[in-house]
Amino acid sequence: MCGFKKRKEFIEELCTDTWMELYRYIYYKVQNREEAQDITQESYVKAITYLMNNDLTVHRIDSYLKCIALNIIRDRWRKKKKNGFSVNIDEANEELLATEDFTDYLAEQDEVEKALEVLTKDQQMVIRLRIIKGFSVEETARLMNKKKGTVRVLQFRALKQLEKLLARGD
Amino acid sequence: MNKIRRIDRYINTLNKEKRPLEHGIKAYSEEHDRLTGVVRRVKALGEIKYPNEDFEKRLIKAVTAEIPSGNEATDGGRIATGTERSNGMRLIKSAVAITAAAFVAAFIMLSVADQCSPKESSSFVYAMEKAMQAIKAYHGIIEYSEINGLGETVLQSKKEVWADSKGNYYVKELEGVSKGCITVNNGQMKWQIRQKEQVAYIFQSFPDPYRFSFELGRELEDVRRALTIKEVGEDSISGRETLILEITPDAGLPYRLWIDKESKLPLQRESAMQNALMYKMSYSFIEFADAIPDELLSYELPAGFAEINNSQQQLVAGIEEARKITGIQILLPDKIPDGYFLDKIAVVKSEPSIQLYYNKKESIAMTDSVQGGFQKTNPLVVIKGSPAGEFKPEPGSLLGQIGGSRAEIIDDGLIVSVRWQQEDMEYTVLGNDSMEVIKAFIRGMTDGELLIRENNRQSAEEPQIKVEVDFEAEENQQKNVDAGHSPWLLDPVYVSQVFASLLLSPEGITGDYPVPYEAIELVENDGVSARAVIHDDKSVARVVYLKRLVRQDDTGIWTVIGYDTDNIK
Repeated sequence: MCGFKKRKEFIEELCTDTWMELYRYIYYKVQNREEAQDITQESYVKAITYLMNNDLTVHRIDSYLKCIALNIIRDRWRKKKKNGFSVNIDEANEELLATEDFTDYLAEQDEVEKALEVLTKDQQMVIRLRIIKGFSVEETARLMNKKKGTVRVLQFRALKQLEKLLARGD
Repeated sequence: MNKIRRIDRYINTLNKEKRPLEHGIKAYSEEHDRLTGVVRRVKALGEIKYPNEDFEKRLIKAVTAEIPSGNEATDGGRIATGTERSNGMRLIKSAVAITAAAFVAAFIMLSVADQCSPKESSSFVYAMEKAMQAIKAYHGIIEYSEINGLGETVLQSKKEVWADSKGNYYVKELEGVSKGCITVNNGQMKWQIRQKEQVAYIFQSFPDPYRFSFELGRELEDVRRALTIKEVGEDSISGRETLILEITPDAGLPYRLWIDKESKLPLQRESAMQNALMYKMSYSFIEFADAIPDELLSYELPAGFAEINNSQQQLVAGIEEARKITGIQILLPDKIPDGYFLDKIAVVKSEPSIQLYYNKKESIAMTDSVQGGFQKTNPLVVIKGSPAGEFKPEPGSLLGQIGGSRAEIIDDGLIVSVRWQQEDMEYTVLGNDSMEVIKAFIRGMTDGELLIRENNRQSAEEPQIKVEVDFEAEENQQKNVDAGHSPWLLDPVYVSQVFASLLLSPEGITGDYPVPYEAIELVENDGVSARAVIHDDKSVARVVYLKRLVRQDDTGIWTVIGYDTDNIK
């Protein structure tokens, strides 16, 4: 039962059944594929290792994995604290975050969309092209018929404005 | 580097799907931190970029390699591990203990059961088929619920259903937005009585795309087509003991099915969680009967209700009468497949068209049913009528040829339909039987042979200009489409339109596409490769070549692999 084959099957089953949802959750937090893949892998290693060592019951494995992933993100990003700065990542209760899944996703999306609508047309366009569509500064400058430097400044001001709007929304 | 450049670099790194320095390696200022937080919140409005196709395999391999096996444990004690990753980040620093007991405990707690072998999978299907074949009719109450990420359940609707092995059904909505609405198909006609509007709608009995969700025959069909079936646990539903199966369908996300241990029939279905929502359909009550009560299958217009007849078809006594009413000269097919008989003839005066309804003798239908006992009748319709206009195949359809004319072929898994124009007439043959039977009816009708190009055969024509394809990006697009986004990628005409339009406006499209959808004609489509001709003088691309690169079935996205700039070859 506990031989290599069984262990391998167990890992296979667990990863196959849950990786997509876990990856989505992590990607939502970090917004890049490289880091999301890395943290997904680390989450499984930590989760399985911990389960092997401790006599505990996990009712929702997906929530458990998300909770571990969130802890990993926090641990990694807080390394910067040594330099005197904290990281802007959710400070909510771990259990709640792990179980809420994407429940607040739509509300969050709505909040950001509403804040975007308050920006000037140029600011909106630069944010949509650069961040949501993922165009380069060169492409964005060409599409907006502006200089690259102007695009960068516009982008910075738009983000500052968004920060204020979103903070006010909170 | 100033703060404007710094935030610009952060965005560039995320856009390249790379980990920025700010994520745990280097810190700048609190202001920068706040702004990077805003960038991530905005970027979350876009699409998730999934890993490569082989990520799951690589993940399993890496996780297996990083977790020591039980055999490595000494005296059931602890093994210190400290694997170092290539990027210099430590993954596991803590000592881990592995004992057989702990592993077994974790194994059981997670309730991850063994995956069924193909033999075991087929035994589930076989058991369900046998159970369905034993049923003549059933009556149940189905509850349709939505469950959010917090596990809160909201009842969407509740329906009383009756269904029989002939494919007839009666559905009454007990709770929900259409409360009181009754939908019935008795094999002769279909009607819907809407209480709120005080209206009765009449439809043709066949084809009938609607039955009702969680219809047992359809569930069986889904299970038959599944890629994998896993037994993942047990549960009790309305006092009945059930097995929980996890089913990976041929397209889409895995779902769970609760099978009654006694009757071997599905009692509950739960979709995968997507965007924090999952859907549950559950029989809160089910009983089996010999037939649906006659009174439920008899149409009667309720007092005070208006009747709207969408069917427009009129049954006639024979082929002579049909000819007389429509003016269409038609001969009955001289040879039809064994077991079929002419059930009825209908006409639609306004089109005009003649519809020949064939059916299978019940004894034969019983033995070769594809639905395991339900929907087992095989109605088949042959339609001959005046064409409404120029022949335009549906965008997603396959293309074949009959007697030198293009033929549109649509197979939705339940019904196969073939439509073509010949000698100023439009023909359609549709039915829920094999393509061979459909072909036999086509031969009987027109002497023509339906020719379908072999899948993915190398096209005789090669594009003048080849388009470089980023396969990884295509795979991610496919995943997005699987999750319900960008459905236009499943339409080769739409994909051609976007491609041709972007050639004209490489900076992006605002407003209408410069190349209209109507200007694109799909001239080849074998389900894997397609070719579209663009009838628009301003278009740079005159012919667009497409392929289903990621998945070669109805759920696969189309990718442009090349185009011609010269006139049509």
